[in-house]
Amino acid sequence: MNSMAIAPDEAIPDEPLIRPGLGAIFGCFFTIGSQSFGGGTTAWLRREVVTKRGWLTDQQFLASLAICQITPGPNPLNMAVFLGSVLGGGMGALAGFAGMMAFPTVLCLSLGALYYTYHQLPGLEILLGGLGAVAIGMNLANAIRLTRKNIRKIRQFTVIVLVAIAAGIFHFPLLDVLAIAVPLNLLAEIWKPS
Amino acid sequence: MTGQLLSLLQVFGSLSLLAVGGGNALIPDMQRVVVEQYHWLSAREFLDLFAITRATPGPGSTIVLLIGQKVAGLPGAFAGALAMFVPSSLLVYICSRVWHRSRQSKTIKMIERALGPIAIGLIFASAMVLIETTEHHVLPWVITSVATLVLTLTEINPLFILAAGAGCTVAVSLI
Repeated sequence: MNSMAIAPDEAIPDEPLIRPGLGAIFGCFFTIGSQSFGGGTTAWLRREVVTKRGWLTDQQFLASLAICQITPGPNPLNMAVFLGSVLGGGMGALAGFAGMMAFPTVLCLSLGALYYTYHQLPGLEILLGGLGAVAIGMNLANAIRLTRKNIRKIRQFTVIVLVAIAAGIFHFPLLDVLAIAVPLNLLAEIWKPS
Repeated sequence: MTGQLLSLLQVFGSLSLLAVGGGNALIPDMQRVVVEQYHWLSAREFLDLFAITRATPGPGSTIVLLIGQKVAGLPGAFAGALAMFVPSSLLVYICSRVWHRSRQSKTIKMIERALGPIAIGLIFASAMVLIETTEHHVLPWVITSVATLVLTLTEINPLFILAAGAGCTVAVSLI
């Protein structure tokens, strides 16, 4: 049993890999808030925070994502607050919130003013169809990459498939899925069957 | 005016902590309150606004900005958004502090490892649900498949793919 001794290189991944400044946190979430047209925010979040900036590991990112899905509120905003807080404390959370909301607020209110003046925005549905279709592809690609990079055990892969089927095909409510999947997978993690 | 701002604060403030499972879970509730109870918008307007906020980047629930804008202009937009987003964000902030403070514990690490595959499964699920609810026809299927393939295999900026996807649907609609 070497569980008593924590090797120094084991302790490091708990911390954010890099401690960014407030401006960098704001900039990161501003980028996500201003580019994630049509949805696909999860893919943008991982691209900016993990892949491009290397602030967190995939494991830290995924755990944060799961927590932000359990707590109420829109996931992208929850992630901005949660990750902002982990990366830069209270001010980091504020920077994340402001960064995520700044561009969408201005754009929405401008489009809203147009809409309330002309009572229609022609072509929006068509544009949305294309953006939405790509955004779905972004999230699928993101999930495939996450699986390829992080999943090594059959058990973990089985969990992915079961959760995807339960929530994606049978539409079981998110909270029910989590209430069953989290304790079971936690038990499996403790027993560690191969 | 003040009365309407207070109504906005009350309506969206009480919805904020109910938005479990992402903002879109609330849309039916929001529609009922905003359209049927308060008559702030027509059903048609609600659908149009929902489409606008789905096309714009960032969180989907920015529809509250547009509802507030209709009811009481800019102050209304900010009142609606603050009421909707501040309570849930405060709760997330508290969770993040608790999580961050106990990050060294073996238990948290164990939970972190257990949550990973579940979170990935949920990303797959959300994509599957979206494909179903947007009634994917041939063109969206092609776009989604190509986008998935390209974004899995290359490091290309997704903005280019988004522009290409939107361009495709616009071009096809013009033919």
